[in-house]
Parts: sequence; structure tokens; C-alpha cells
Amino acid sequence: MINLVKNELTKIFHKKTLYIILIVAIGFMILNIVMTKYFESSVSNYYGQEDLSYYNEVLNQLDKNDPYYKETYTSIKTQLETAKLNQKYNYDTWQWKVVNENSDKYIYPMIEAEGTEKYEKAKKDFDTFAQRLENGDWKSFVQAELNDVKNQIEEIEKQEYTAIGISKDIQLIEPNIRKQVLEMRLEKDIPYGNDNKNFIIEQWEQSKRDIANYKETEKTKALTYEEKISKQNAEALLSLCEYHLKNNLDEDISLADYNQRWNLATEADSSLINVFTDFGLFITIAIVVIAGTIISEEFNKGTIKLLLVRPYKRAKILIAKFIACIVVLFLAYIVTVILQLIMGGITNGFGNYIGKAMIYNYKTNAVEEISTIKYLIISGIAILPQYILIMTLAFSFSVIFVNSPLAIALPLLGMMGAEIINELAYHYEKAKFLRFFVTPNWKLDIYLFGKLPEFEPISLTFSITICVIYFVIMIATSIFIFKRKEIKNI
Amino acid sequence: METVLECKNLNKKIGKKDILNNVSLEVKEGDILGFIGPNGAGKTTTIKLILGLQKINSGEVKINGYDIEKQFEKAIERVGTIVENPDLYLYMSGLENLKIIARLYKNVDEKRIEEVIKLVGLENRIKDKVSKYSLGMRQRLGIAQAILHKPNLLILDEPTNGLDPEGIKQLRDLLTKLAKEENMGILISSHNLAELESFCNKISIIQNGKIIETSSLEDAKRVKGKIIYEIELDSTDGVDKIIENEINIIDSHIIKINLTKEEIPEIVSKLVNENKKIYKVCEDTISLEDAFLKKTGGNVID
Repeated sequence: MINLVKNELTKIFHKKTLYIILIVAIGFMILNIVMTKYFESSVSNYYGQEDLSYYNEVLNQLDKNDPYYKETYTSIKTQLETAKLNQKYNYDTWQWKVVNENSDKYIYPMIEAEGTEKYEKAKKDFDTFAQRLENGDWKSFVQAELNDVKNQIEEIEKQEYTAIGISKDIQLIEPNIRKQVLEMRLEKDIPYGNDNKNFIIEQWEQSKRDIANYKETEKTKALTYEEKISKQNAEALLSLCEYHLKNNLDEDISLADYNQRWNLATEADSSLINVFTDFGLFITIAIVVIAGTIISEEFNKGTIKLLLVRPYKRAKILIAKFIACIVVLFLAYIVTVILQLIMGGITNGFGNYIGKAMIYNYKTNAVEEISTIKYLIISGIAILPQYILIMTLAFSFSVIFVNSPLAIALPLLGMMGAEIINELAYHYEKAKFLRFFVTPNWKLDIYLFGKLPEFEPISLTFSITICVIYFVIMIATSIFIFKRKEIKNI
Repeated sequence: METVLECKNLNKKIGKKDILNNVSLEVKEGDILGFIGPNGAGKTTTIKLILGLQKINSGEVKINGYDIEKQFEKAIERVGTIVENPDLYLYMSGLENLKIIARLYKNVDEKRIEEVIKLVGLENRIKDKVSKYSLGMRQRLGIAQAILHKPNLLILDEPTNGLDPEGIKQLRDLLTKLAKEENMGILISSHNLAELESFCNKISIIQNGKIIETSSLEDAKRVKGKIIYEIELDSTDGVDKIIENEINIIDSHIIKINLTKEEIPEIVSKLVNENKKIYKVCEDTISLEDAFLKKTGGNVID
């Protein structure tokens, strides 16, 4: 039996197929990393000269004295002035952000007041604003915003009764959170901007608001399952942001695949951590091509006769071939990880690998550090069923149809179709039975670290059971058919 | 002598068509059985049934006493074969091909592989990829993989395809040697009748899925128990009036006639009495091909 497996591997590694796929995969990995690096560093001025001339052109065509166009004129002129002001600052400066956020407050009134007695005052306000920008005093803007928020809070608290039927508590959620954000900026010295810290602060604010809203809802009625998931996600995001803020991580830290998997990692780590999502396609293609041809090619070329006249039962020969496919799958895993390790190391520095991967533990509601290796193993195992099942599918088709192109094409098409089926299974009540189908169950990473799965009645045990059932059916069918296959005359 | 292969009343249907009809064969140790038939007669199908590559509808195949369907592993263990073409892994070298096959048997070591390579005369090209081999070389490699594990039953489907006369001679010598020295039973199917003649000691003729004759090579050449004799005369004019038997006038000097041995003196005296000068009377060297065509009534596929 071991010898049979060895033979199958010898055959596989003598063929060019795998090597060609590997070379293409390496090419794409390099391209991917180069592109990421290039685009990250190539963000520059947001407004170009073209924008300004465009605004000017439009303004020239408008009669500012015609009351009908007054409003359009004002708003376009505001945009022009904003753009002019922005040109002075780079996209990633705090000024850029402030200019955009305050254009309504300082620029619009000035334009609106053109030709009236209010203009003097508006112009003066604007000049002060521009001066403050120039002075680089971002804290004064934070302070001003903070004062506004405090006033707002006071006003709400002063209310005797709530006119629109919303309780004070709910009304206070947003201003209070806003206040916390602004205080945090002052305390942690985080100016406005477009960097990671600002991104994290924004995410923090958003998730904090979501959680508060869900908590309010919970007081009156039970949350639906979807709301529970959203709340859980918001909690995870909040924890990660707080972790980030607490440890005051630097700018070269990025949030890897933030919306899906909540990893915090260095860039090199993140490229590695996403290796199975980014390059899963190559693993899939490699194993589908191997499993899809391993039987049918021998039938088509007649070499199967060479194999079937040996003193081994057909079932054994088939199982040996399947084991060889599994070995290829593991090799594909390892090769992909190693390649990504090297690529990530070259582009981002190997030193980054010393860092640990952060994961969010949904059960304890806390961010935990685990080693990158451990993370890779865990996530690798979690998505293993998908690869094994897709490989088994290709393998079965290879036995059933004895047609390599079909055995390769069908599983790959199935992968695409799986997205649609999963979408139906999750969100369409009438298609609930699809939850017993294999594709919504074959990615176990949705359960990782205590996360709630996408839909309610499904559990990890359920998913594993479904995967095993489909696997057994496919293997049993293959063996049944292979044992009865007649070797036709060519 | 032990019987190595015994097929009894094999029947095979594909769809509604009868491919084989009560085919029976027997190969004993040291036998070389020529399995002859026109294209489409069922030679390859028979071989596939023997090797368990296709299901038998009725009848049985026993190899070394083991039933091919019930005790497949034991039955096939001492069988070496080439079916249809020598289909080998083209993307590997000849040596690698032999090595992976060697791994599937317990008794084949490096030394045996070298020995077999020498036996089939592939020493110089054994490390080349099989895709670069000529058909003749593939045929040799096919034979090498078939005899690698020292089988006692060798089943070769059209092994002379693509071999040059030198190769055929070598194959003949090799097979004769294997049959004699290692006491191997050999079943060869071929349509190259002239070559089979020098290989075999027995033949089976199959037509339309039926065995129409199984006999020793000598017997196969006889037509209805009689032997064809060639007689050389000074002139063949009027001989058809002298002899009542059916005769075949080849040219003005030679006739052929179908006789038993006892009839010869009578014919000779008849001819002498009519003043014919006889230069030679001898047994005609009928080729297997002639016998074959006579028996199958030409090469017709239906």
C-alpha cells in the first residue's frame, strides 16, 4: 500500500503540471506584494489642477446674480475654495481632514455672504480658520469641537420632557461617545488625519455607538440572531481598537483584513496571516488539477492497464491514489506558506515575524496574542475541510466521468456556485434546506475563536457531520464505480 | 506439466452484441500458444477477461489454480502482460517506469531490473524519457515490465508490432528461452502470422468470438487430415486427366495436390505410366497464413 502511494507521488512529481502552477503562483505573489507596496506609497494630493480648472469653468458659466442659480453657485464656489485650501496640505495631514469637515462652517457662510454686510465678519472667520490651520494648532479644533459637544450634552440634560419620544439616554449616546473620542485625541495626542490611528478611532467610535444602540434595544426586546452577530462583531472591533489604542501601536501596524477576521498584525505578518485567503485559489487549482487527472489520465492514456494487472485490489489502488492527493494538498499548504513567508520577509523585513498575531476571543471578549505559527496552523486546519472536499469532488468526477477536463472544470465551477448557494442558505428563508448542503458548512474558520456562525441552528458539530457525510458518499461512490469499471478496448 | 492458464466457456456481451461465445483456452508450462484471429474477432477482449480488466458474463478463468474474479490478487501475482499497446508513462524514463513497477512486487530488486534491461537490449537508452522512444523500443520496455517479476504466465497482445526483423528475432529467441528455461507459459496474440509460425508450438484460432480450432502447429497446417504435396514434372499438360483428385496447377512444371501419405505411390505410378517425368515429390511448406486464411475464410469482420 505504501509502495502504491509512493508510485503515485513519483508519477505526480514527474509531471510538469504542478511546477507550472507553482511558478504562476510565485509570480502572482510577487506581483501582489509589489502592487500593495506601490499603491500604499503612491497616495498624494487629492485635488489636482484639473479639479480647480473644472470648478472655475463651471463657475464662469453661472450668473451669480440670478437667484435661481444662487445656491448652485455658492456650493460650487465653496468646493473650489475648499479645494484651493486643500492644495496647500497633503492628503495625509490633519489639516486636510479639518478643511473638509469644516468647509460648511467657515467657507460656505463666507461665499453665501458675498456682497452683503455679513461678508466682512464671515471673511474674518475664514481668515482666522486659515491662520489656525497654518499655525498647525490642531488641538484648538479638537477643543472647539469638544465645547460644542459639551453644550449639546448640557442642552439634552436640561430638557424637561422629550418631544419626539426618544429618551434622554438614547439622545445622549452619540454626543457622549463623541466627547470620549475628542478627549482621547487630546489625551493620547492623536491629531486628525487619514492614518491608521484615525482609522482606529473612527472604528472605535462606530462600534461603541453600535453596541450602545444594541444595548438600548435589548432593554425592550430580544435581539434577532442577525443583530446578535452584528453586536458580537461590534464588540470584537471595539476590543481590537482599544487594544490598539492602549498599546499605542505605531503607524507601520496595519489592520489586516479588518472587516472579516479582526487580525492585528505587522505587515509581514498580515501578508502571512492572509495567505490562505489570498492564495487559496492556487491551492485549490493545484489539488483539483491533480485529483481531477489522477484516474482519468491513466484511463485516457491506457496506462491504467499497467496498474490494474498488479496484485492489488482495485479499491486499494484507488485509495492509494487518494492518499497521494492528500499528500499533495499538504505540500501545497506548506509551499504556499513558505513562499509567502519569504515574499513577505523580503518586502517588509524578516524581523516582523517576531511579532505575534492578535486574535479576538469571542468567548472571553478579549484580544489575545498567539504566535503566528499557531495562528497559521489553526486557520489552516479550519479551512482544510473545504480543500479536502473540493479535492474529493474532483477525484470522484475523475473516476466517474473518466474525463479530465470535466473533472477539473466542474469542481472549480462548483467553488463559484458555492458563493451563491451560501448566500441563499444564509439569507433566504425558503432555501433553508440548503443549510444541509456541503458548501455552507465546509469553511470551519467561521467558528474560530468562539464566533457565532452566520445562521442560527448551525453549530460546529453540525458542520463537521455534514462534511464527513459528503466525504464518505463521494469516496464510497468512487470506489463502487472504480471496482466495476470495464477497461474498454482502445 | 502444470496448467498455468485455463479458460472455460468464456462469454462476453457488450450491449446486445455477443463478443465472445464459449471461448476456451489452455496454456501449460513451457507452452507458447499463438492466439490468432482477424481484427475484431475478440482476441483483446479475451485477454482482458483473462486479466480481470473486464467482467466475465459467464465461464471462468483460472490462473495457477486461482479464479481471476474471486482471488484476483493471487491469480494475477505471477502474470506478466502487455495489453494492446505498451502503454507506459511517457513523462518518465524507461528506468523509472521499471522502478515503479518493481516496487509493486516483493521479489524484484535493482539487480533484477538491470538483468531485465540487458535481456531486452535497452541498456543504452534506459535513462531517456519514454516519450523519446520509438515504438519498437517501447515494445521492448513493455516486455521488460512484463517479465520483471518472473511470472510463470506471460500474456502478450501483439508484441511484434513495431519491431524490426532483428527485434522480432530477438523476441523469438527470448520467448523460446523463457518457455524452455523458466518453464513459462506464454500466450501471444498476433495477426502477424508468418512470425507466429516461428514462435509457437500451439495455436488457437478465433473468429467472430468463437474458437474455431485449437491444435499443435503441425496439425494446424493440415486441411482435413491431409497434407499438401508438391510435385515437379517435365510438363503439367494433361495431368488433370490422369489424376482424379483435385489438383492445383501452379505452372507448367509444378502441381500441388492434397493427399494422405498412403496415396503418394499410387499417384506417382499413374504419372509414370503416362510417361511423365517426375523430378521431385515433397511435402508443401504451407505457411500458417495460408492455413489460417483457409480456415477463417478470409479476413472478414462482421
